[in-house]
Amino acid sequence: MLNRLKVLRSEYGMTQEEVADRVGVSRQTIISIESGRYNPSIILAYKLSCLFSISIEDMFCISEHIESEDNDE
Amino acid sequence: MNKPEANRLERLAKLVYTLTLLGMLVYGVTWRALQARQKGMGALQALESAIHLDVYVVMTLAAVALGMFLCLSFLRRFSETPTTSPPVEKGRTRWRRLRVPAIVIAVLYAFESAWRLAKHASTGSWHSEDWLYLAGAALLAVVAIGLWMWEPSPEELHDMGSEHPSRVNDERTQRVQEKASLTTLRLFLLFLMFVGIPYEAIVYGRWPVITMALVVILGIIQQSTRSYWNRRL
Repeated sequence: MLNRLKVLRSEYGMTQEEVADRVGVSRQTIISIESGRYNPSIILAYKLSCLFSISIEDMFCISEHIESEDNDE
Repeated sequence: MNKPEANRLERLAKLVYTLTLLGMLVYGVTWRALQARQKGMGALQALESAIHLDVYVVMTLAAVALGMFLCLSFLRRFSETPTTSPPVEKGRTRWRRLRVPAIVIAVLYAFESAWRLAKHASTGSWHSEDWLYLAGAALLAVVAIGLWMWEPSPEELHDMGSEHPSRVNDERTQRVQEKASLTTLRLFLLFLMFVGIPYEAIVYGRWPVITMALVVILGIIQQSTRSYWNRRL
């Protein structure tokens, strides 16, 4: 699973600690999500997308999905 | 507890625990090997005899040590200073009520172990299982001291008593703990099944009934809990 958390966080000028505080998890969890090592639960994904005011689909996507879109093009 | 303090505590606890366990293992094997040597066995035969006698003890202590290492590795994360307040007060664990029974159980077990070990040591009937009692007592002593001296943060107490984990014990930490516990159990079972049991059966021509029963019981518990959670979730 790929995500745009790091990009969105930079756009909003927030630190990992701030994002962690806002969604109620540890900074380590945010680091792991950003690096793609950990896929969050649907609840956490929802909280993150709400924080940046976008839909879950705009924040997270399956890597195979991107590959198939690339092949189609 | 701040971070540098937690790091120091983690390092110290790891060092003490490792040295204690290593000391116990080395002493146990050496003691048995020397006893075998006194009975006229060759050096290799004596060592092999010592390792065989203590194989389950060594294995269990190794599992305890691994579990403790994993717990200590999580200590840093648990002791992270929270910057947000718990979301709700409802369900918060009352620390004193949790601490007192836990300490009473630990002290009772320590007394029982001390009585048993003193009796065996004084009558010269020291069994290999006594090492397990000693390891268990040491573990409980550490837990009792920890419970007495360090009260968790309000967030941790909230986590213990409610189903709304906050940032101290969040979903990733829980996932990591689940995976670590499962890996420890799997390694323990694999060692029992593919090393401990065949070794005793092939080399000594007898089946370790208690160990085999333990494996079966663990399998039954695993399947029962699996079907239980399958219905619940």
